[in-house]
Amino acid sequence: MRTSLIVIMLLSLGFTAVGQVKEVTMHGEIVDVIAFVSSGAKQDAATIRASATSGNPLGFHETSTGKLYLLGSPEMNKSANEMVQSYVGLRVFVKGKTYNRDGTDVVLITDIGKSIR
Amino acid sequence: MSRLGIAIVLMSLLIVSCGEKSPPPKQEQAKPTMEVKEPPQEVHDTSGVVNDKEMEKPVLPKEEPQPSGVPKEVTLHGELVDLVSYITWASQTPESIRKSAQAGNPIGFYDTANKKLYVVGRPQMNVAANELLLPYVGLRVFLKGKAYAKGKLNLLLMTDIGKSIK
Repeated sequence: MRTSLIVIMLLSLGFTAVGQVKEVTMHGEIVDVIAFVSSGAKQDAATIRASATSGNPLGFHETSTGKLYLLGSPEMNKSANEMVQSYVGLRVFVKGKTYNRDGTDVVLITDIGKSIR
Repeated sequence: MSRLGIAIVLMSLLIVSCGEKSPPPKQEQAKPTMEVKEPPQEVHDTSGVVNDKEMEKPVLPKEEPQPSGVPKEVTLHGELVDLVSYITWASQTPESIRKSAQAGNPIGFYDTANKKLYVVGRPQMNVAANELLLPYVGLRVFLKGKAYAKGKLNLLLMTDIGKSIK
């Protein structure tokens, strides 16, 4: 009884420390984070590709909620830009785990594809 | 410890943890007036003359960007982080940040005074900030530039960087 209570306590503390991690599938489009935030407008596909090639981070704009996510790879030393670059300019679905800290959202992408929704 | 004692400890911990991590409001575009601003650490009076209307205005931190998305020239002090690792709570060291940045992941900036995270870019859109930031990983730095905000995501278009002595 006592052990199980302690385990529950530790688990609840652990979950709150990491924040809300969710497994999701979202539909939307790939954007250039810097241009999207600074100008407030979506860029054309060629501009986004050029920006990503120069090393700027790509993001995901979920159309149903208007939320902007930074993109990450589950393998920490791998950039997500390579994974998503061929989907720039298309309506896509993104599967992965989302994290939020200090109001900034990240999705660690496990799958991406063309969306028909 | 008695069962009652354990139950009290458990309940208090759950209440505390629920209070800390209450879900964010669904309306993302909260009005600026609804935001609770932290009191400023320093207030510099440069004008010398202050009229009554100005006296009534709430004093905001000097270099806090406005949430409206209107850019503001700022100088911020803090440290460089690996953005993805920071948000996913993964541990990071200067070495791991450099490695991650070299793999193409974005370096971010954590403003220690305002406790805000920034995505960092350059004013020239097709030039990445990582190269300029890399030598400063692991140091306390200042960043100058224009700050933008979209929802709760902050962006700094950096015009200058240096070692901070503040």
